[in-house]
Amino acid sequence: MGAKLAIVMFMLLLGVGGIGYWYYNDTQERLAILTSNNAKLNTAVELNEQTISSLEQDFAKASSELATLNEQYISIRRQNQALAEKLERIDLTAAAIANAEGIERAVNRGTENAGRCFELLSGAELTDKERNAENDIAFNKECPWLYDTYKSRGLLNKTSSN
Amino acid sequence: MRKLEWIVINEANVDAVIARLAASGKPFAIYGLTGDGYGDLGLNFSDIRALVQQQQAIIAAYEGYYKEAEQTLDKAVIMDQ
Repeated sequence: MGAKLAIVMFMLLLGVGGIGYWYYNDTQERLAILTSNNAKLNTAVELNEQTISSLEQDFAKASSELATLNEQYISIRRQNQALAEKLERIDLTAAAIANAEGIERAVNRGTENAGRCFELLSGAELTDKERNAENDIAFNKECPWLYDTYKSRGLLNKTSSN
Repeated sequence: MRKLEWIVINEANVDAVIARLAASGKPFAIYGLTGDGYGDLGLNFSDIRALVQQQQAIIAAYEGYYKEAEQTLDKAVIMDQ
């Protein structure tokens, strides 16, 4: 009777041990899968965060470029308006009648300066006179604002000041 | 740019200018603009210059944006790898 009970108990223990072993192995496999999934999710989250951050940076850069562009447009329009305002103040016909020679010199100089503005805007090298100009008017009366642009880029000689 | 020379003529100096041009030996012909016409020419010139500046500003903005966007994209690709 005792031997039979021992055998039954042994069989039961073996069964429970087998189930325990299977359960242990299954749990370990599940844990491995879950750990791997978790790692994948972490990578996905990190990638998403990176993408969001990248998009935010992209948007910020686009906004900043647009703001700069708008400022430049305002500045360009103001510069363009300057000549119209100047011409409103001057009666060119009356000036030509009063002082033909003086106006002739002024328009020839102005035309040369205006042409030079186009050259500079097209990337022409600065002349020594322009590089050493002491202020924006000495630089070019028709596009004095370019003086600050060149100055900020460090292309004018140090003696220049405005 | 090519150098060009404006000649301002009024009633008082017209004969002197014609004589001067005749003395230079060139055939006499003048393309004229009134004072207002000259002003309009200057404004047209100024408008074209403003347009060039605007185009340059747009190009600079695109350049700035794309450089930055490319750097960000490269960084994201490295992270992904």
